[in-house]
Amino acid sequence: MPTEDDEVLAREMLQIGRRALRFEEYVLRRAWGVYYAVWALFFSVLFIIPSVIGLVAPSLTDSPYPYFLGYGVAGGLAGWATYLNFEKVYRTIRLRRALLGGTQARRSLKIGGWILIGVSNFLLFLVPYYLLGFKGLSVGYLGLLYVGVWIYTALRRTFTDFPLEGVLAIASFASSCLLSIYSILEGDYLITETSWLLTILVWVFCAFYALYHAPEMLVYDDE
Amino acid sequence: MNSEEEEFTLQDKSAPIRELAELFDDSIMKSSTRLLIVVSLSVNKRMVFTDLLKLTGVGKGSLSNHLQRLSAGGYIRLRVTPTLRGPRTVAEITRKGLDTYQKYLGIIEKIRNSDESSSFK
Repeated sequence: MPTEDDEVLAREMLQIGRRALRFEEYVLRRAWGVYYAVWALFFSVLFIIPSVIGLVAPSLTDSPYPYFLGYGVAGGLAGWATYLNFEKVYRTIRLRRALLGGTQARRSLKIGGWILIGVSNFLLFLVPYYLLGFKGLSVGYLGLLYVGVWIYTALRRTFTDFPLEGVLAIASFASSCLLSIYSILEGDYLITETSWLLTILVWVFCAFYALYHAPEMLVYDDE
Repeated sequence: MNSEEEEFTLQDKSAPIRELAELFDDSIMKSSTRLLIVVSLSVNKRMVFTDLLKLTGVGKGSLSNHLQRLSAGGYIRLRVTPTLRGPRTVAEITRKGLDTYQKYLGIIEKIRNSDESSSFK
């Protein structure tokens, strides 16, 4: 039969876990700040790649291969940075679940799983492009909407209060994907460029906002 | 709640408490600060000294002492890495530390479950 001391000990154990979890919200908010910055840089590179190809190899500007190669390399690097940044999300979800209950955490993705997701994203644009021509890229943007759902799920499962920058990042990303689909189908590419430029600015803001507000997570309930 | 149900709930609660006592058999783990460090390092794999200060809220000397004891017990590994801002102390979790963390997770899950079932009853 548990004594009063045992009960105190049990409460203390839970308190240690809650404090570790709170600290993890601080670590992960910083990680999200870096994530927004890395992807804002990646979106910017997408804008620059056509100019770079025009400058380095003007004869190749009409071929789609240099573009896909450039986008693939930039996307791969951004994906790698994301993987390094978020290795610990699964482990945080595991601790949160042990302490607070809730949904069973899925198994952590190994590096092979992340590479598969990256290659699938790439093929999501490449295959429809070859099958349907330029308008096929709209399929790729439609598929990219899952990233918004992924960000939402990861944020909801790691933070007690959903961070404001997360709402802004998801809203701007999803809007840009939808506007890109519309713009490709309508043939008005200025909409795509303007919307992604705005998304870059919003994500840069989100990066600074997350990094600036991360220390606020260090206020512990037990103090 | 009848006496049988009450006894069952108390037994439910005693089991994780007994496991908790086993976890604390090693005197090194008989400190909430050191257990907190092991838990947080298990999630992050490695952490720098300044982050550990933020986590624990203790002074530099006290934290060094805790880290030395954990390192001596084989729960963590300490190394100093050179950076542009000078050398930084980095703590890394070991296999033994991860095993302790897994035990801790199992115990708190049981405590939470028994708390939930008793409040449900």
